Amino acid sequence: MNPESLPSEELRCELVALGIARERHRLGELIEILPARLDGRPYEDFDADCVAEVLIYLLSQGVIGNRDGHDARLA
Amino acid sequence: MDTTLDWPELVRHPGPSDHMVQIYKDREFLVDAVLQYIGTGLAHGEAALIIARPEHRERFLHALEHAGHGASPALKLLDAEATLAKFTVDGMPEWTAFHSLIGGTIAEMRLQYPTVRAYGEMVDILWQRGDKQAAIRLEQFWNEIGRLQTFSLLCAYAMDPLHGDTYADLESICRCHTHLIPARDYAELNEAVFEASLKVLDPQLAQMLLTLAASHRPHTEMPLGQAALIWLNQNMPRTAERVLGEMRAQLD
Repeated sequence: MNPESLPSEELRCELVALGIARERHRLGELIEILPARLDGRPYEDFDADCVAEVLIYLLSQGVIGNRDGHDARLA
Repeated sequence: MDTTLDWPELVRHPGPSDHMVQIYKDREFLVDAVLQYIGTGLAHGEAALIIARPEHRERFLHALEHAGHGASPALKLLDAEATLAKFTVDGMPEWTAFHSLIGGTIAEMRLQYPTVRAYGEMVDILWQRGDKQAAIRLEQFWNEIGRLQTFSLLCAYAMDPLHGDTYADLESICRCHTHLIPARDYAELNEAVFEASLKVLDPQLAQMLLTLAASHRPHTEMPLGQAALIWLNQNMPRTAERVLGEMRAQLD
C-alpha cells in the first residue's frame, strides 16, 4: 500500500463535492477518515480508488461525517 | 447465512406465477436447468411449452428423452425466431399479436392440463441482437400474460456473470423477474464473492460492505453473493470490477 497514492480524478471531484479537500486525497489521509477498525489494528492493503469509493458511499449516505467538511468545501 | 433456494429446487417446484431468469455462460448449465424445470413438470402431469433456437431445442429434447419425457403430448416446442417474427413489428414486439399467439397457446394448454411451465429464449435473441429495449418490452408482455393466466416461466440469457459489462444489463433484466439464477453452485458463488472482497478490501471493510449489500437486496430473489455484486456495482463500480477480476482469476 502506497500512502502517497491518489484516487482517480473523477473520484477526487466527488470527494471534493462531499467536502474532502484535494490536499487530503492521499491514500494515507483518506484512510484516516474511515471509521477505525473494531480491533484497533491499521487497515490492510487496498488502493486509493477503493478507499475513495467506500468513503464516497459512507459520506453520501451520512454513515460518517467529514469533520473538516466546512473548511474543505471552501478550499 | 444465505437462505436463497438453490436453483434445482426452485425450477423443479416453481411458484404458480414465478418468472425466473437464468444467466449462463456454460450451455450445459442451461440444458440442466431446462431439464429439471420441464422434466419435473411433465413427470407431474403438467404441460410444457419450449420456445427455443433449433440447436437448443435439439439439446433439450435429447436430455428430456434421456430422462424419459421426450414423446410426451404435454410438451409443445416452438422455434424462437419464427415465433418472434409473428408478433414483432419494426423490431418491437406488438401486444395484440403476442397476446393472441402466446396467450392463446398457453390458454389452450391450460384447458387440458392443470398447470403450464413455459421456457423462452426469444428475449435472448433480441438481447444478443442489441435490441435491448425490445427484449425488456417482451419481458413486460410476458408479465402481462402472467397477470391474465397462471403459469410459470423460465427465461435464459447468454451472459457472463463475472464480466463487469453484464451488470448494467442485469439490473434492467432483474426488474422483470421474480428470481435470478446466476450460477450452478450458489455456495461457491457466495464464497467466491466473499474471498474476492477480502482480497480487494480490508477484511473489516469487506465484511461491512457485504453486510450493507445484504441489507439492500433487490426485490428479485437471488443468491446473496450475486446481490452483493449488483450492490457493489451500483455503489462502488471500480471496487466491483476489482472483485469481479479476482473472481475470474479464482473461478475461470
